[in-house]
Amino acid sequence: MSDLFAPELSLAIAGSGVLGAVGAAITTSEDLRRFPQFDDEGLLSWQVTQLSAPWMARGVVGRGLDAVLAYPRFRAVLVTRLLACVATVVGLLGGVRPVAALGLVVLATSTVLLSIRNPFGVDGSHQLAVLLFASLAVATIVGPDTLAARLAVWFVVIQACLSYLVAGYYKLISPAWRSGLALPGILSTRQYGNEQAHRLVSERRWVARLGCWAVIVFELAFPLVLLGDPTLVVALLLAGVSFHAGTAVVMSLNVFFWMFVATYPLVLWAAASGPLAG
Amino acid sequence: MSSMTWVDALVGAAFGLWLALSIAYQCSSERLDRWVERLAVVAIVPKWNFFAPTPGVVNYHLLYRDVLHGGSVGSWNEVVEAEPRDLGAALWNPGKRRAKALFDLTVSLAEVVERLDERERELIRVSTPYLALLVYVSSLPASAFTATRQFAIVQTSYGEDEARPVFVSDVHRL
Repeated sequence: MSDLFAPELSLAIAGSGVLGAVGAAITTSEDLRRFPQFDDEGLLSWQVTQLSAPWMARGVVGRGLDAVLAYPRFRAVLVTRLLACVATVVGLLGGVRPVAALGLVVLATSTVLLSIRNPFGVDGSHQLAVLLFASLAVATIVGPDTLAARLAVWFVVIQACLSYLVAGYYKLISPAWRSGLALPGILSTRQYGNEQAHRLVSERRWVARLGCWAVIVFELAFPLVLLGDPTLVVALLLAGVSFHAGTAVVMSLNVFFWMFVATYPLVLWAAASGPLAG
Repeated sequence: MSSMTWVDALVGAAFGLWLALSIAYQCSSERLDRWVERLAVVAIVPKWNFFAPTPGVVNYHLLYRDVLHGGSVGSWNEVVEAEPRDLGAALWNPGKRRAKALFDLTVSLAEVVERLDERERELIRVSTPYLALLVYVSSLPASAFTATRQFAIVQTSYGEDEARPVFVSDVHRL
C-alpha cells in the first residue's frame, strides 16, 4: 500500500486526535451556549442525577463530584474541556507531546464526568468519545514507538469495527430493517426525523428498502477494512464518511460524524500495518 | 521489536479487559446488562446496537396539567423541547442536549412503567426518570391559583390519529 494510505502511527494519532477534538469542541461550545439548561430545575439537573446512586451523593467521592458538577460550577468543567480541545489540536499539530497528552487526558476525564452528570441527554457518539480520548491519551503519554501505544490504538480500531459489525448485525436480524420499514419509521419521528427524507422513503418503498440494505451491508462489511486491500479500504472509509455526513444532514447527528471519522486515521494505520494486511 | 515492558503489559491488560466487557455487553443478556450497567454508569462500556433490532419509530410526548385551589382541573399542555432543525444543525446543534434528555427520560420512564406493574408504583415514583421529569415540570410557569400539578406521557406514531397514554403521574404539590 502506498505511503499515503500507510500513515506512521504518530500521524494517525495526530489525525485522530484533531478530528476528535474538533467534535468535542463543537459539543462543548453548544453546551456553553445553552448553559442554563444544566440548572437544578431543568431536565439536566445534577441534583436529580445524584439520587440515582448513593456514591454520587455521599462520602468523599460524592463531595468531590459535587464540587465540580454542581450548577453553576459545572461551567468550569466545560470551559476547561474547551481549552483541552485547543491544547490537543495545538499539541498534536505542533508536535508538543506533553501539551497534547494533557489535553487528551482532560478530554477523557471530562467526557466521563459528563456521562456521570447527565446520563440522559448524551448520544452514541459520547460512548466512542470516552474510549477514543482515553486510548489516544495513553498512546500519546507512552509515545508512538511503544507496544503500549499500538495496543491502545488497536483497542480503538477493534471497537470501531465492533460498533459497525454489531449495529449491522442487529439491523440484519430486524424484520423492520430487512423489509425497509425502519427508515420511514425513524425519519417520521420528532427526535430524528426529516420531512423531505421521510417523504422520499415513504412514497418510494424501493428507496427505503435500498437505503436500509445499504446501511446493513456497509456496517457488516466495515471490519473487512482490516484486510488491508487498498481499494476496499478507500471504498469503506469513503462510504463511512458519506454515511456519517448523511446522518448529520438528515438526522442532525452532527458529532457522530466527527467521532466516528476520528477513528479512521487509526483504522487506516491498522489496515496498512495489521496482521491481516496483504 | 523490543521486549514487552510492564507498562505494555498493564496497558494491554486494561484495554483487553475493557474490550472483553464491551464484547460481552453486546450480547444483550438481561443479567449481564444489569451487572455491566453498574459499571457503565460512567459510560465506559459501550452498546453499539444503534436503532436496532427495534428501531424507535414512535414519539413520546410529555404533558402536564394543573389542578387549581378550587379543585378545577386544567387542560393538558405539551412540553416541546425539540427545536426546528435546518441544514445548519448538521454542523451546530445547541438544542440537541435538552431535546435528547427529554427523549431519553420519557423513553426510560415508559420502559420502567412497562417493567413494573401498578403494585410497584412506588418504585416508579422514585425512579430517576420520574424524579427528573417531576422536577422539570414543577419548575414550569404556574399561575397563582395552581395548587398541584401532574404530568403524563403519551405515545404517537406516524399515520395513527390517536395518541396512546403510557403513564400518568401522581398529583404533586408545587
